[in-house]
Amino acid sequence: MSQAPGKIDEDLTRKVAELARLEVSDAEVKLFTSQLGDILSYITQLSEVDVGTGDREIQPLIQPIELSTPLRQDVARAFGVDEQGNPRVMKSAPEVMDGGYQVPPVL
Amino acid sequence: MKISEIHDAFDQKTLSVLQITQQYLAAAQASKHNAFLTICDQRALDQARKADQVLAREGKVPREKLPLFGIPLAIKDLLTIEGVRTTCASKMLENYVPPYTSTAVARLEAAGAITLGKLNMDEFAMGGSNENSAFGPVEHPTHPGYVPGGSSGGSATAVKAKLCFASLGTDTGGSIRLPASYCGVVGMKPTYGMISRFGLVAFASSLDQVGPMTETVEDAARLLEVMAGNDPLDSTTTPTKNFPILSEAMKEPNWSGLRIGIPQEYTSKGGLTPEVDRAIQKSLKWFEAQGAKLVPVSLPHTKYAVSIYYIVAVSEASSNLSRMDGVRFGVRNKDADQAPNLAGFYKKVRSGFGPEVKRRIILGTFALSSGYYDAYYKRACQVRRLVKNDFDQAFTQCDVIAAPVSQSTAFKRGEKLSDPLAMYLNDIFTIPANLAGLPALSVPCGADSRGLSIGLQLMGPQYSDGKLLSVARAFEVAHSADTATAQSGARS
Repeated sequence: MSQAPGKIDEDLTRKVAELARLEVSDAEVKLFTSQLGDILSYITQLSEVDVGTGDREIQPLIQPIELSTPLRQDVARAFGVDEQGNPRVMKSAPEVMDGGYQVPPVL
Repeated sequence: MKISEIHDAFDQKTLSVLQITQQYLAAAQASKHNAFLTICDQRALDQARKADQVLAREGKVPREKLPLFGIPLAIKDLLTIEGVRTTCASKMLENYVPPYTSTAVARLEAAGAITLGKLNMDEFAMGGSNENSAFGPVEHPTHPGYVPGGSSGGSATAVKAKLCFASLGTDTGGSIRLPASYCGVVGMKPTYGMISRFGLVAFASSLDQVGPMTETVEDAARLLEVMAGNDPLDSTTTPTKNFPILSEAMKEPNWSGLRIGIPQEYTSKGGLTPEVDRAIQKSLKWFEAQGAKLVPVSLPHTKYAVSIYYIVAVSEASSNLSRMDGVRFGVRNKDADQAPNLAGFYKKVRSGFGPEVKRRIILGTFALSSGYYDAYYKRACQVRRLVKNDFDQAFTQCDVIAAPVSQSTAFKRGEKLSDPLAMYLNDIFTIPANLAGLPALSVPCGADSRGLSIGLQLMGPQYSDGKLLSVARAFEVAHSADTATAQSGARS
């Protein structure tokens, strides 16, 4: 493997949590670091598999069936509209204003 | 009781749709299993009254047009129903009311089914014991204090405890088959792409499948046939419109021409307990006695399945769950509104995820991050191809593979909670079918000394769903007396 796997430390856990936009407490960092270390050291077994190189490299299997890309007519259709013609999808939002999603001033 | 028997009772007017719906609603409301997260009693009663009007008008059940007429079902809370709260057992979606219905549920209802409510599960389907629900664990239907398995634990318990007639679960790495095995019901993960996932909240999109959980194999076939087939709203569904699954399932297998593969890697080396091993061996002897040929097959990459899964599934999950941003849906807490910047806003919103979900998002983000992608995600997908090749090779020598669902029977709540890896390793016999997109089912085949149910797993090549069901049905019909004895002994 290109990186030393299984060597996850608290700084790396914090960094990855930041990338994933997750807030983690000190206790969680400690716990996750140890649990992820266990999981990653188990996963290192994959490095013993010969996956070939160059022309003989095994192609990754991203999904289990051969898929074509089905196309359909590009025609708009009514979807989830209430009696007033407003999209019902907006009703699921925590806050809306003037037909748009409302968010706090964060920029 | 089977669907056909309920329909006979409707015809004979010894039972009305309203009566059976009320019976199940009452059982669901009185139940202490924590299997339901939402009971839609008014909606179900309305459906039942309308069905009774159809019955009065037609004189008998319109079986051809409405094959699930008046059958009360319950749905894992990962599939949307318009206007009904869908939580995914997460605080993140505690109040989420979707504006559309999933295709799977829409097809069941179009076939006449009644929907009683939404079932508890592991949060976002992540877990094997149903201990990860934000709304509390689900109780095992016959053994209090034990886990029902997960993540479709509510779906298995509800069927076994007769809180609904049948249910829907989803299976990403065994989430239908494991609870089916632990609770003693039938559970099937169909071929990847067989059932539309439109309206299914995505966990790991290259693995997730919707499937039926029922008391009998025949009824699993009935539900599957209604749901199966192309859906223009899900580009990953099969192009085929209909599958004659029920008629195939009802056929007696051609025993003398049937080759049953026995994977050499699914043995005690995989941690199989002697009691489960004995039940599986006994089942295999029965198949042999019917005239089937038992063929040893090798699936040499089985030992890598858990590693592959816990890279692929968590990577896909970290991407899928990035949509939980607290803007378009979900819960936005007060802290989020006070956040100084956008990253802080997301972090506060996403504090609603439970620990298992956070752990998997972190692992997935790590596996996909720059510098680690080739070593983890790409390599896992390469070995995933080798797992699929193993099956392709095995199916040149056999028609069906028989194996245990799990190494052991249900365990006590709390037993594996602090050790995620031990919990993950529990899925070693179920994960391979997801990695290869194969149909696989669990049918009860016995019980251990405590009366806890054991499931036999049957796997087949893609689109052999009907054949698997026919083999499972023959087995079930011959064994229904033994399983009933084992289970009633356990309850007393």
